[in-house]
Amino acid sequence: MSLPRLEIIPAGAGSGKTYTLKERLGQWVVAGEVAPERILAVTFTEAAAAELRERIRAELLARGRGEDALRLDQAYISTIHGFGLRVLTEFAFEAGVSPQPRLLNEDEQDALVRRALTRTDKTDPIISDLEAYGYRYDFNTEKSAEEVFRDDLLRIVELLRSVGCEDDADVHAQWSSDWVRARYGPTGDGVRMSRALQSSVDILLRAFPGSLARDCGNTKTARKDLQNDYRHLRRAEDPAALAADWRMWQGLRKLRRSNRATALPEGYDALADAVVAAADALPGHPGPLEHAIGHIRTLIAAGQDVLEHYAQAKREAGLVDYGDMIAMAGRLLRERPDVLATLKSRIDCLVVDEFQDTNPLQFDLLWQLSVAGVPTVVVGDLKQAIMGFQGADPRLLEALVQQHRDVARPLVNNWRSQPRLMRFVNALGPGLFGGDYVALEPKGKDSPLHPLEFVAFAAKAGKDQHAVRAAAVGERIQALLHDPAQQVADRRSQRLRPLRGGDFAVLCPTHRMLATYASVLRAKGLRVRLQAEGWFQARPVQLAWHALAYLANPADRHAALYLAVTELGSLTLQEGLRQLMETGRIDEPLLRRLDALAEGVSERTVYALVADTFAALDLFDTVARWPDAEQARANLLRLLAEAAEFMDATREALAHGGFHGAGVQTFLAWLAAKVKDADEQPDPRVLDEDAIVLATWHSAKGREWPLVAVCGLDRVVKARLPNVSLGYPSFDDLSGLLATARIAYAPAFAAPENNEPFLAELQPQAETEARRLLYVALTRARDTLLLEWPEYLGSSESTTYWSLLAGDCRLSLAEGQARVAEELFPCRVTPGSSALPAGLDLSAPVGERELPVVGRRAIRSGVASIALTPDSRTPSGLEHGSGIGDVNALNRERYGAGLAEVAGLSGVALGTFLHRCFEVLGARPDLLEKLPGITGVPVTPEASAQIAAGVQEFEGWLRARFGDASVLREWPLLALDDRGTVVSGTADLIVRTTDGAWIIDHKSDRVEDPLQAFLAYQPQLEAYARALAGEGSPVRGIAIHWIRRGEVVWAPFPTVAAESTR
Amino acid sequence: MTEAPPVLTFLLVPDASAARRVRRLVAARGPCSGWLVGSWGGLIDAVQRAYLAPVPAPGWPDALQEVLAALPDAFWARSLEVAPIETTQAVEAALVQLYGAYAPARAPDVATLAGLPERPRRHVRDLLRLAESLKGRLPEGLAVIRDLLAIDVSHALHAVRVHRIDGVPSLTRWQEALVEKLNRDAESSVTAESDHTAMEILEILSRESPAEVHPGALGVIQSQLFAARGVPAPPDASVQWVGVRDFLQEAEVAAGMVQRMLAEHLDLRPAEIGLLVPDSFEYAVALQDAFRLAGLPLSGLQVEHWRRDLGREVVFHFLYCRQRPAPAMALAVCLASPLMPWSREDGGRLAQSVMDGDYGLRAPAAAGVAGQQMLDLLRGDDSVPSGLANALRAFAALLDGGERFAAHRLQARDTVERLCEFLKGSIDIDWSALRRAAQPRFVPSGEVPDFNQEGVTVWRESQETWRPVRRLLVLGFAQGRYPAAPGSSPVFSADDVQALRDQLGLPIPTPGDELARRRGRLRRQLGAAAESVAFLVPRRDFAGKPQSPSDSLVFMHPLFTGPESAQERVLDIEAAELRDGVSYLALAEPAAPEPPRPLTADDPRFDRDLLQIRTTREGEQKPESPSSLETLMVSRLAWLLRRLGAEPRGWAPEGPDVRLLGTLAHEVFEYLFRPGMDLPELTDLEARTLGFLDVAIRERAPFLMAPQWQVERRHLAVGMARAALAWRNALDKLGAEVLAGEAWLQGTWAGIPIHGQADLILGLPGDRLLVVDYKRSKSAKRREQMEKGYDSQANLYRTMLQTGGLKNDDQGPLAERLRRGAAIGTVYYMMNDQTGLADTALPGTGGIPDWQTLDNDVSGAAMALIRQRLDEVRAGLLVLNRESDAEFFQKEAGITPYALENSPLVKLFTVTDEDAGGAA
Ligand code: SF4
Repeated sequence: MSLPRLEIIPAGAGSGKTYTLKERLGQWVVAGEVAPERILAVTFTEAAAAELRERIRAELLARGRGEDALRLDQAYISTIHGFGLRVLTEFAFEAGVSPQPRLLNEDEQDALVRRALTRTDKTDPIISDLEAYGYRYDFNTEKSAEEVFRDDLLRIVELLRSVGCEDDADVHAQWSSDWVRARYGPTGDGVRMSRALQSSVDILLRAFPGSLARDCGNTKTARKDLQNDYRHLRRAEDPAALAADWRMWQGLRKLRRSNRATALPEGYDALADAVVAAADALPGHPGPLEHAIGHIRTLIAAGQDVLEHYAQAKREAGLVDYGDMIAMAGRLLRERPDVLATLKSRIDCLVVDEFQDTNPLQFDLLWQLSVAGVPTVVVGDLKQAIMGFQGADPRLLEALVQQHRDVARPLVNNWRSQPRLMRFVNALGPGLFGGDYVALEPKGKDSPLHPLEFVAFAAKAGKDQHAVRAAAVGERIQALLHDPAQQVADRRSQRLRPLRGGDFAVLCPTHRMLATYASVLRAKGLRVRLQAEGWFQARPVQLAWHALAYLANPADRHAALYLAVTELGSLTLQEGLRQLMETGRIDEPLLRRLDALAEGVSERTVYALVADTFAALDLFDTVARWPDAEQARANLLRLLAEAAEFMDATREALAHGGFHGAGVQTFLAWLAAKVKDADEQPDPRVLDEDAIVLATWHSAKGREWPLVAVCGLDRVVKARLPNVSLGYPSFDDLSGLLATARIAYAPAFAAPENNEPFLAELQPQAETEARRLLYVALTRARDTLLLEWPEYLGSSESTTYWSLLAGDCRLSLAEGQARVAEELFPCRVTPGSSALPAGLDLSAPVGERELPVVGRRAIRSGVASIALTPDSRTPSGLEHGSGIGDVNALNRERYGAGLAEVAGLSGVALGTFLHRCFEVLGARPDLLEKLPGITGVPVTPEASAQIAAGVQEFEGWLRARFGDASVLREWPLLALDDRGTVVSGTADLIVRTTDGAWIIDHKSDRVEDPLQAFLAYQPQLEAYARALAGEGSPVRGIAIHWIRRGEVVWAPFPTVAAESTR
Repeated sequence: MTEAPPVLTFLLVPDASAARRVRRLVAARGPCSGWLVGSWGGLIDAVQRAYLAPVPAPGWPDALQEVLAALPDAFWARSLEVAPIETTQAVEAALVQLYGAYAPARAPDVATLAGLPERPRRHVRDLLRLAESLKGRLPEGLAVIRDLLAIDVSHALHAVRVHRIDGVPSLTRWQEALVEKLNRDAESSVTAESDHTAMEILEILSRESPAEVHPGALGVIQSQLFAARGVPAPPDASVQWVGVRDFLQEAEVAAGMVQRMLAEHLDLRPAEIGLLVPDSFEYAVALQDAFRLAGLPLSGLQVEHWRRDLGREVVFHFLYCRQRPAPAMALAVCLASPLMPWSREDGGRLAQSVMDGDYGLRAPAAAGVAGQQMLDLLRGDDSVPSGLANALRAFAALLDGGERFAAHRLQARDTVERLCEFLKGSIDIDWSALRRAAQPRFVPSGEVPDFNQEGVTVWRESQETWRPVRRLLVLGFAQGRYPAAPGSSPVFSADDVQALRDQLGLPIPTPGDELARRRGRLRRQLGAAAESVAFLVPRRDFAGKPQSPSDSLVFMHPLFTGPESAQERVLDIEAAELRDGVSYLALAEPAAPEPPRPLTADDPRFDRDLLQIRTTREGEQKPESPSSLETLMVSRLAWLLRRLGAEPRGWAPEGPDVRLLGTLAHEVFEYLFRPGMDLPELTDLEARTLGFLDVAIRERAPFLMAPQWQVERRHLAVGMARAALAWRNALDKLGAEVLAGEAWLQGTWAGIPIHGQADLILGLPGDRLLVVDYKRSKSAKRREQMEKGYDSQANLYRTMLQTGGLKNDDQGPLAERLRRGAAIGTVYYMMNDQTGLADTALPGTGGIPDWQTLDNDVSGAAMALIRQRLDEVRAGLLVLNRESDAEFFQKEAGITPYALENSPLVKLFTVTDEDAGGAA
């Protein structure tokens, strides 16, 4: 067996591609074709990578290949970004980048792009008049015109990066201009057109110099229109506006004239007609075209500059973004054949999952390996290519398949859906995808559940149509849930059981629609789970937030008032306000609990302070009893996680966002800014068996449920402008694709006529993507597919998801049957109302009926009562322990003057140094010279002499006192004490005489009363003595040598005190 | 003294945790002397002391970096340029790895490299060149060994006999060589008996599976995990995998389980239960919290309490302050630092005023001269290194903070010294290099774990067991842990290492070896449990993202009969059926939720006139401004909070927000259109506008000068020029004379004093006056508000002119002129679409393109509403907002009710319309 150079596995929904992959890889490993650590598998998500790794490993284990399963750890099984990053770090030196690149955050990206922008002047024409180029405040994203512009530019930068920056900007600019020009349509003499408009406007304004709004605006719209008309007319007088303001032109095409409701002054209509006629030349005017081309050229030229400076800035700062991980790795392989060869030698086979979702850069990186000869398996499904909004380009897979039909091995079975359902999907296939559709052989188990259900809407709801449909769908789900006859096979046990909420998924095309469905289903008493926004405003988060604000600044009256009058406080609003009025402060026990933390505020880390605050307010315990306990807890946990992230963030990254400091206030400021883009409440649970899952069509990809309701088919499928994408002259040479890719920028023109050709080109793409999205949504169900069926759309002209099904797939309902083309499918049709059911209260608060029984509440609260015994201790830890003892039992012997002062040395360092000197020189007086090296302390000859003399004196005394007994210096001792604590320490001197040992410790403290001071150290010495005695050598005495005093204080051992404590 | 030195016995173990265990084992055999137990670091310490080794010379990292830079054609050269620290680290690690693999006595020979593949050959060659250029200097770990190898035992205080088990820990060749030397040196005094004892003890520690293998499932894991597999065994309760949501829940579930275990096994002591936890601080904090709640003591929990590095922090931010334009938040951080020569309260106040946009700081009186000097320093800037060095020194000298922060102060001074050293030789100020040198890091607080005999035994994933247990809970059994994967080296890949081993016979461990070592440790850890082990699998990571179980689960799975996939082994406690299968899982009594204290929104009543809360020193009511009255109209609570000084405060980075841009625009117009001066000439209008804008930015918002705000600056400038041009032409057409700009007016209205600053007062032909309010927005919303009669502001200025006049200059000619004004009109000039919205028809406006005159009563409804509100608050009644208010103001009044957002309290204490019994 040898590996195929290239194999393409088209894998429809539920066709078991992971199973196929692990089988195949397992075989190859067993056959010795592939070493497990040399597998490179690229998946779309981390979770998919983890699953694939697990499955391959389990397969190897099942085949008895334990060693191979272990070696799989070294394999490259990751997302494409993970792979790119690994290439980049493993070959960091070849790439000339930091071996530990850091992922840059949005603030940094923003700051670096801003900085790169200042280094080009090519944007001048645009930034001098952002508005003229269509950049204005965006109410949806709350971004300023400047930010919108930068986003636009960044998009171009990204595209330029994908197409490789070898070409100079002109090539791209030229191509893009030509692309627009080719579609714009014929143009005429712009100067003449403008002049005509100008003169017709002049004539009109001469006759009617003022606004007609006041006199003729008898209705609201009339007034508004006339105001606008006047504004446009006046603007047209300005030659600069006439030559640039195409919206104004478009406005003039719609000048208001007399109608039934509003009569305009005599003579006006005729003059207005003339203006309109002149303005109607707009679609053929060359001005808008030139303007748009200028815009694109500027963006591309500036984008090229920015790309360069931005890349440079990132490299210097050791930063990468997700795009870099791919782009830089790709470039490295292209520019360094040696790296490509090395990498190739490390990879036995390349597996790419979800190939339809790769973007051109990713494709380029992977394709280089394939071309270099790495056997490649590509798995993907064009029908599920729905990640275009992330830059995925399914044309790549399409081209690949077309060029390599011979190596395509499509998977032909479906293991997911019950056969009756699968047959329905198969019937829709050709309608969605034409002749290319390959029917999947149903292999799923039969289910007792009805495969197909429709909720049909004959009439459009007057208002709240999403809610109205949600109510009808909810009704049906409720009925199914309450019907004990409806049984489903349990995933784990495979046994039939009644339905639960968690068996259902409701899929909508947009998040907004989901939110409506969630509130309607909840109002109907159904449990749902949906990741919702609103974290920051959640009660526990707000409470903690204000507590932190108060902690950071106790003078913050607002925070104090807030805490006092809300859930955790004890005051009413009235009481709180009154206190502020009267005393200027708030008296509230809760605040006192926080005051107790004030001491540590400046030194403790933000994470510790957040945790402390939670503890001081008993927040976790409190919310554990609240109606939405689990969500509340998850929300608080996110606050902790944010604190950790804040602490981990590098200073540069924070500073780029304008955030300085490491304290609570900076944290709060950082967080307030962060939640503007990331306000999601974390999922409170992992599993929720009773909750209906709500998900978008997009996010349903790769998932499955027993019963799936597909909602929102009324959504219109429409291409939008402006649109930026990559254009390729041809797909013939896949390796050279990037080099030939160009930027296709379809602008939005003021005149709709100009937009038409662009839209005409984009619309089919939009529809193709819509069909794929539909396919994804329709193939998620195992047992039952429930479709909303807005048949009232039959009279509508626009393309909707519904019209794709009803029209292209020829799906219709009649008498309990669904007809697809000629085929009939039994189904259940429930009629849906066109109004909300009475009594449905969407604003009613919903909470759990029961608290969770696991987790925090299950801990029985208790108080630790036992006194704890240390596991180990060092005798020096006993210092100053007891201090009891009898001074009278002590003896003192002075041997010399002591080393009270040593020339040139002082402080703590002197103490440690002296101690060491006595140890070293005591044993090895010959090492005096080497003392500086050994201790790391420089000493003057004078000091050396002093010290040597001191040591000599002491050693002299020692010999005189104990004869030539053997001396152990720095001798470790180890024992258990009577409480079972391990005692370990080091005795400075152990003198072994014939009738027993002496323990002597050097002390360099300055003491006034050496006898009293001895008592403090006595327990330590006794501990040494006991350990030594326990070993079997009798101990006769314990002593302290006071270095500074030239004096030894000693006691016989066992001492009286020691006896009594034993 | 000629006798051989006494010999110490050293038991070498992998880490401190193992050392603790071994020390107890040794001590338990009876007291002994002359024995030491420790890891490699401990051995080196002991040997250095015993052999009287010289203290190694400092300065290694700098030396290395220098030599690295001196080899411009080496493989690291380009990376070194952009990432000196990371590159140096990586190269050093590789050097240690490579060098450590040669025997210390054997000099590596370049000639032997020929057989290597190109990449490792090049890397080895460059590393050897590096070693050569280092001229005998070696990385610290190697240098120490080399030095010790060179010391003759006759020079030592003690000889050291080292005992160890092969592989636990595993040693490099250099380390092996040292151990051999030590043991040779100690040869004379070795006794078979002590050797035997030592080895017997170490043996216990190193066993991967326990001496007595558990008879059930636990035993299967202990003896077969990662090993060749026998027949699958039936699972039992001695091993379980429990799925929980997150780390906190793990800690909570663990506490509950421990409680149940103790309750059900009376012979079980807490110390006999073990918690094996990941090496991350969140686990420590969570465990501390959960076990405190449960009243269970812990033993050995490493709570890593970090402290902030206040000393470096203040210096780091001082650097930001001295570089123009200084970010306001950096200044605030300095002001609020506890090292400042003023109190924490004063610091907080100063910082907040900076964050509120007020830079006119005054040093707190109590701070004396030092305070003023500090403020001056913080607000100064630098362009030359010497100046900055002086400023830094002066700054360091002024730092205070008392005894409590002495250590931080010291740190700050050290840092300043380092920076000054750095500045000495430089020509320019390299701000980012300086900041890198002053970079604050977290400093450990020095707390040591409490190891006690009674508490539940805790040890960490990266540590050996320090105390065997009967029951073990493994926390954090998620992907990336148990074991953690070793990182890859940019110098030598796994294949490169393999080549080095095959071709050169160098015993360098591959990442695979390292992983195997970690798996061995995991097995030893699991081997420390006698009766049961439970793996807690967190399904979500810290941030709430899904995560997979540890890779080891897949290896455990096939050891047992039962479910098909490894995933199904995990019993998730959120699933009722699975939960029942979890042994010792603590369950709470079912209970209904207890809702928190309800926030009752009753309209508060006070027995006082709320207008009298703010009075002048003479006890007179302070005047209201038009904007305050508009706040009152929208929300009485918001208005009261402002009066009480209880509005939210906080920090935010400076940015071109609406308020700031408005201020700048106002200022520019104030400069452009001045009383007593002709209208600016058309020819230089743009230049002057831009000039004035620059001045305003410099004064009010220096940060906007920074390059990253270029687009904003430009956009603002273009807009200002356009607005100025249109306005100038409008004034021209009106024949207007500028009478006053930014003039403080006062008057009375509805029985209360009012005041405010009028943007512009124009004199028009015929003694007419026109009060102008500039707005930096577009006209649509304002027009709507006026059309609906809810515009109060301009009218209030008119009222001031009518009932009072100029606030300060009451007698001058201007005052006279204002008094004479026959008719007073008002106009909003909407800068963003250059539209004038006037409430009075004026001659001459016909020719102004965007001049609109509203002919309804633009303020009637607003004034009536405000009057009503005033009556209420005068009577002490604070009517809260109603739910319908927001919509009312939006739709009926044409106002965006920003005041409702002034404080979250406004929304919280909004009365539902049912409760209110109808709209306000
Ligand atoms: S998931 Fe929602 S937001 Fe995301 S692309 Fe789909 S519809 Fe748009």
